[in-house]
Amino acid sequence: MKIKLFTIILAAFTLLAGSCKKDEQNIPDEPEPFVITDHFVAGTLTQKSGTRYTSVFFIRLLEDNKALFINSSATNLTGTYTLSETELTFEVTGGNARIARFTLDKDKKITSAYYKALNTEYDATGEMLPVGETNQLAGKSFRGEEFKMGGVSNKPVMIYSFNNGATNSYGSGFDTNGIDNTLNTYTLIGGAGFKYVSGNNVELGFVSGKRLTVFRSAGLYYYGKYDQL
Amino acid sequence: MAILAVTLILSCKKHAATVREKPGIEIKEIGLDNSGIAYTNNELHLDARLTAAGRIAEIKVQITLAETNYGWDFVKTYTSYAGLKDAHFHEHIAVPENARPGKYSLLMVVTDQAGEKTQVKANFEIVRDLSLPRITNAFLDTSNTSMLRFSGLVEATKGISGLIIEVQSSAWTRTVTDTNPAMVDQTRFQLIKDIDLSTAPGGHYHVNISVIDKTGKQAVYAYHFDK
Repeated sequence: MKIKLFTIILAAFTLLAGSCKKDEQNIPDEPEPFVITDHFVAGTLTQKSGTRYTSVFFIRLLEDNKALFINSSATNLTGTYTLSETELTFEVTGGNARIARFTLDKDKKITSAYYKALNTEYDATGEMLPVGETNQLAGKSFRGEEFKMGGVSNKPVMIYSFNNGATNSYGSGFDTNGIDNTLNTYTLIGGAGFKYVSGNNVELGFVSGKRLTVFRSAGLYYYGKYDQL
Repeated sequence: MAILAVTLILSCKKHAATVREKPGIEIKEIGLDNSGIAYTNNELHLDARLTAAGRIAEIKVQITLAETNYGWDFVKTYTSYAGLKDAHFHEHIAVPENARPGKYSLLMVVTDQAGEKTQVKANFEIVRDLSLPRITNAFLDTSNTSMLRFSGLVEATKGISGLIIEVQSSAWTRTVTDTNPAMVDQTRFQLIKDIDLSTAPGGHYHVNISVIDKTGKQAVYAYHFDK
């Protein structure tokens, strides 16, 4: 009788301990939460009218709902952002007022973009890219056509070559063999974007998928999209 | 047997309800002597005491203009303090010459290894003071392991009063005050200063060089080297 009672108690304990363990094990794997500060927006702006050209911008999404608008200007523009389930809005108030609004799908991919600076609206695109530690440009080359203001072809073949070495540098030209990719040292933005500044010459762009989008300001404006070689 | 059962149930409950302690941040100094001021073409002196029962994973420092406008910004994640439960955070952040003067917000976020975060905000001002003494073309020559040679052009519109050079590692510290008569009272002086490192053990060293003018204004420059 005693042995039977002991066996029942032992079984009860085993069940109790097992249920405790089971509580821990049965927690379903939750999907990684979306952390906005681990992402940045890279996109393009094109005038809706007049002499059209396409420039590149980045929005770095910082802590405390602060954001940095990075374009070909020498300094960045500090603004704020708000994020909802379906929309990301970046805003600057005051003398340099502007607003950028991005519609998001359930996976936080940008499905549409809107941009207005003071009273001027632009055709906008945007991509939500993860901030990466590794340089996604390093060691890659891209080829495409460069355009100038007005959508006129400037160089039918333009190649960008990014150095794979310790320094973040690149070169560009129309002939792969003639490009020195140690020439221009750039600042890496979020792992997928770059900004090069030399005096009044500024070049910035980003890679998404196997395509590089670039804007170059060298007195005049040049831009293009380039496919990875 | 009943006690054992109760203990087992309680331990099970306790496990599920573990409360994690958040990291602590106490900012001690923003700007020299906690002045809340940083000068362009100089450095922002930042000093804080950090605690993290769950050990520090990373420290993020974010500086942005307080208003929304064009301005200087700085964002850096420090991982050199990782693993510490109690850290003395001391960094010098270079403020570029073209940084827009004005009010800035500083945000410090400490994340521990369990992912717990604490953030603290503080404000400071960037001021352009052209009369501030300065050192340009600075060069720290560490090619000779027993001698540190610092060279640079020291300038002070009100006249140079002196230099204080501090060399510090966790195991070795030297402070050298330089009031070379050939330099004092000059407005420009090409400095070459040797510091004996023959007794300094191997390690990571911080070098702070303060240049002080005749009105007491000073600028601090920070350098690092490994021996």
